[in-house]
Amino acid sequence: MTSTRQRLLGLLCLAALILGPIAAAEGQTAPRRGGTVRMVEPGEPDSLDMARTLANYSFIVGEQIFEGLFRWTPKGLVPWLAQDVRVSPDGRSWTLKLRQGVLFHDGTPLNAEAVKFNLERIRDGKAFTYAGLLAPLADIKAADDHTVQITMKTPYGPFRALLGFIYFGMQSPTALRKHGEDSGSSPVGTGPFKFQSWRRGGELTLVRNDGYWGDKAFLDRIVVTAIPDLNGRVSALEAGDADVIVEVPPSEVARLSKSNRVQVLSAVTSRNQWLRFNELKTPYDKPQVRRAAALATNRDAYIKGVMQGHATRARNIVGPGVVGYTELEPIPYDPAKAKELLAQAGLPGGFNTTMTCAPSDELICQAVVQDLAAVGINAKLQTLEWGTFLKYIMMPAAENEYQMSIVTRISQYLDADFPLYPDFHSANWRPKGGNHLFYKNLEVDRFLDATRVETDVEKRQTLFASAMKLLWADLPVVPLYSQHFIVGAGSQLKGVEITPNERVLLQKAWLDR
Amino acid sequence: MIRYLGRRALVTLPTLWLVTVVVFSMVRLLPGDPAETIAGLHATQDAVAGLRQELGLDRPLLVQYGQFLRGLVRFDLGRSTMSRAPVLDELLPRLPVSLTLAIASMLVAIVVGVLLGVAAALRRRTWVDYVAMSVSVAGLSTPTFVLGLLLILVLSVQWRLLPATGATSGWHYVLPSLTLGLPAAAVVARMARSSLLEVLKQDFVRTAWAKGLSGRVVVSRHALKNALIPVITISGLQFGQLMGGAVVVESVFGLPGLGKLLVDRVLGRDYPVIQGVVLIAACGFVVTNLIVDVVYSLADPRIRHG
Amino acid sequence: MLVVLRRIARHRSGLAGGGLVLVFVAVGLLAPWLAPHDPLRGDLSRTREDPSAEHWLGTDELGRDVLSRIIWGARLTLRVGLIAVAIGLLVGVPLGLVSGYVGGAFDLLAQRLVDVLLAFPGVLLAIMIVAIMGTGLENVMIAVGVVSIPTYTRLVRGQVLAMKPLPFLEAARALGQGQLFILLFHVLPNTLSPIIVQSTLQFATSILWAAGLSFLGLGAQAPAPEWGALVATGKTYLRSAPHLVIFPGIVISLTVMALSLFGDALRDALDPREQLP
Repeated sequence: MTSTRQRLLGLLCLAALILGPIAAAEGQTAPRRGGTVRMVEPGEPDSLDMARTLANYSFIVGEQIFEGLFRWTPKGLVPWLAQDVRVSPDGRSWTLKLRQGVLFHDGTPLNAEAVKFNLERIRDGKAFTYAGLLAPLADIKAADDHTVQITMKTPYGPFRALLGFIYFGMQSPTALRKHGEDSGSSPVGTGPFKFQSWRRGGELTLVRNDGYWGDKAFLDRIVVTAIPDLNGRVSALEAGDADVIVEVPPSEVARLSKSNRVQVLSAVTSRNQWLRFNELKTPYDKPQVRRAAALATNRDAYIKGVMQGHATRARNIVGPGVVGYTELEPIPYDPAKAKELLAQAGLPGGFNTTMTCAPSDELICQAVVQDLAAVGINAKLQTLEWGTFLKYIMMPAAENEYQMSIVTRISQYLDADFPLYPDFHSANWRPKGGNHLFYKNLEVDRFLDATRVETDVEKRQTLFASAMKLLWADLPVVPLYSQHFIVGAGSQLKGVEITPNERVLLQKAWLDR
Repeated sequence: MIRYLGRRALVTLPTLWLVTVVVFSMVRLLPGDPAETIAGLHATQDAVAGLRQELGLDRPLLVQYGQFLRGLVRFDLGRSTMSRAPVLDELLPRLPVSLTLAIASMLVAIVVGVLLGVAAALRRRTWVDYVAMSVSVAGLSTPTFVLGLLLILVLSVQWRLLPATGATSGWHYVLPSLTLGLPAAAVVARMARSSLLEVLKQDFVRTAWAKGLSGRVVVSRHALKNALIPVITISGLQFGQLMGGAVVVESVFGLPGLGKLLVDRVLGRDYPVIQGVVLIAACGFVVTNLIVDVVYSLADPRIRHG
Repeated sequence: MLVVLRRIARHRSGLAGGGLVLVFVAVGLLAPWLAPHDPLRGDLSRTREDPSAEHWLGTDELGRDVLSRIIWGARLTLRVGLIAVAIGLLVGVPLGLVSGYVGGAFDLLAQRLVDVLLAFPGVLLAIMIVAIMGTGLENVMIAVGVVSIPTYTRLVRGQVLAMKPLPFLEAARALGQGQLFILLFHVLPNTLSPIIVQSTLQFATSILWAAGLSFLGLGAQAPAPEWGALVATGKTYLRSAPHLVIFPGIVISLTVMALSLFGDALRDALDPREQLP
């Protein structure tokens, strides 16, 4: 009896995790207007010009101020500032109908010209990391005030999803022109909250946008501060100094869950922790060696011991919740088989190597190094601080010295195109793009190319599945687990939403006091 | 006096210039560069090159140094490469945090240090002396980050008396100031004790005793005043040390001060901000030393002719 | 020598300090035989356990034995102190000797160099040096050593300047002894006792600083059980497993305290006039 109930409970939990984003339990009472929410992030935004930052701290604040033509919500991708999108049968002509009556916080209307300005700014800018994502856009035209006509060089599959990436959120052209380099400190969007003030190193304040086009937000004000220390954020929440804290350390979740003044929200994200190899270095060019490394790592133990249970077994190179995701057979933990494979690869006694890590991944790196040593892969752990780490692993092929490393990868626009295309396509080898695995598999390339020029959702799914199966057999990276995004909130705060690309949405949040 | 001051100030100028050279070259010796760090793991070569150009990093080093110097005389430290905000907009809000911390810990150091030192000297070779000096040795030997974490553990986690992180109220400065101030208090206490003992042995104090003045008057009016000179010196030197220690303490307590900013921006290779912080710290350090010299010479006129 | 030892023996706190220093050195040297467990291998199913009969000081975030890690850490710490002090000595002392003895342009140049080094708060300078050279314990030793150079240079230069007019140097010169000979066999020996005292205290300072840099994440690389790094990782679990901070923290304090007490006693013993009243 008990065991059945336990199993049921377990299943429920599992279901909750797999179903992904869990919104805070809605109370029975109707949402109330008013109040200030104090949100504490692990770091201060660097810039609130969404195209000038890669930090999630900035994106989370940006999600309250800005809106894209599409939006990733806990329920998936929905048209947002674009009401309707038509794609021509050849996939090269996109017609976006914009929502009427939307104004930026400075009164500038959101019209076709504004969209054109925003997209062209990033596509033609020399210094934007993701400019390449808009490269297929040949011509952007304002057909009428609320219709944008885009002509593509080739059909472009991931376009819809990436318009939901807040990096491409709509910013007021008037403000961008006026503020120039200072745009990062004076953001003007169309979102439910507008920017009020920001003292760097101190408080960043947003207030409700009463002229919002849709359902207006309930909260009067959001005050954002940063506490980098994990324990500091937790104490701030417990002391009532914070209403929402971003990133709760897994080791504190159990304790926090017991408190009735605090709620813990958790979602499986598209963030996977990867063990990766430099395929230009022997013996990582041999697939058996990579598989041996995979079999040697006790990934379930990492989930329990390192992540305190707040991670999910990886069943694909990319994380769950991503367009194109397919669940594959998990890789077992089998050190004996790993030794066998090493012997087959001509390395019966194992080999010596180096594992390069950034400080944020030090813990999991140590655990993996321990396990690898048990099958004879003796990795010396080398920790480099972030700036040096980036430089080291991003060297062009000929100079790149790293052998093995651990990084996490999130899908910013929740389409398998990212990270599969930049990380695994051989056209993107450093220094051209983001493939510093120096992985090259022409078959994978073919499938990935095909997903890019396919606009039909079903067909893309099949193409991705083929690419993923090839990658799963080849293991250019070993996914160790899918990380959870954990947010803590006071129990009086309702309606907080979190998404699989690690954003917190406060549009529907309200205080129940 | 003014001539002496002028001379001392003049001597620091070349040092300050050398400091700018050293800062500028150190920052550029860091592995990697701002463009790579900002552009991130997925950047294309073109994006990195574009950024480098936008940030002016493609210009020859001498030209960059010239721009840095030219900006400096106009109090313009350039723009942060990470946030694109003017460096002063990044520094100025954080300066009060660091200053508050430094001044509060200096107060802790002087008050606690002098009290302990005087008590120990007056009750020499009693338990008061032994306890005071043991506390002082312990204070000197405990790393600030350990002291800070222990204070958090007891006063914040166990007893819930004081907040551990952040800087939203005055209470937030109590633990950091204690952490930073107590080791300095240890140094001050030792100096206060030995210098007071030294003074108490001297003739004029004996004379005062002989005149039949009460112990309290002798100590407060005659001995203390003279004993304080070396205490001022050591306090000034400690102030310089505090500015270094603040880096660690701000990290422990998550105080958004200049030290925390420096560590973050070294990781982010934010050249202009690193230059700004190090420069401010070096200037503060040099100026403090200057003030110590001046105070010292005011207290003891012989120094000026040394 | 005997006199010095006898004086230290009479110095109660110095004796205690000296004893602790001996223990520290012994633990560092004998770590492989003393540590009850492998400091680098842990059991992921037994993480962050409280102290027990099997693990006297508990286990860490990867299930490794904390006591064994602290014991091996003594060895690292010993090395850090020795090398950092050696760097300061090897550069600072000759610079001070020559600067003081030769004087002139060389002295002026050397002193400006020292001024610039002293214009930065030491910790900042160390942070920048480590950031440039790369994180790691080796580079921390170098950084801490470099930062201590000016102290040695100033100390030795002062001693030499005070010694220069003394008759015994005149006599040596009159006897036709070479400059280098005089420097090495007359000047140097007379500066030794303050150098020894300074080195003992510098040893303590180096340990403190290296631990601080490791705490900031610039020093020892995981999985090396450097004490500062132990505290840094333990910090994450301050609430759920405070022993991960408390034990290594106390060990750092004790070691530094031992070294400074011993250093003070040594100063008193070597130079009775300087004794604290």
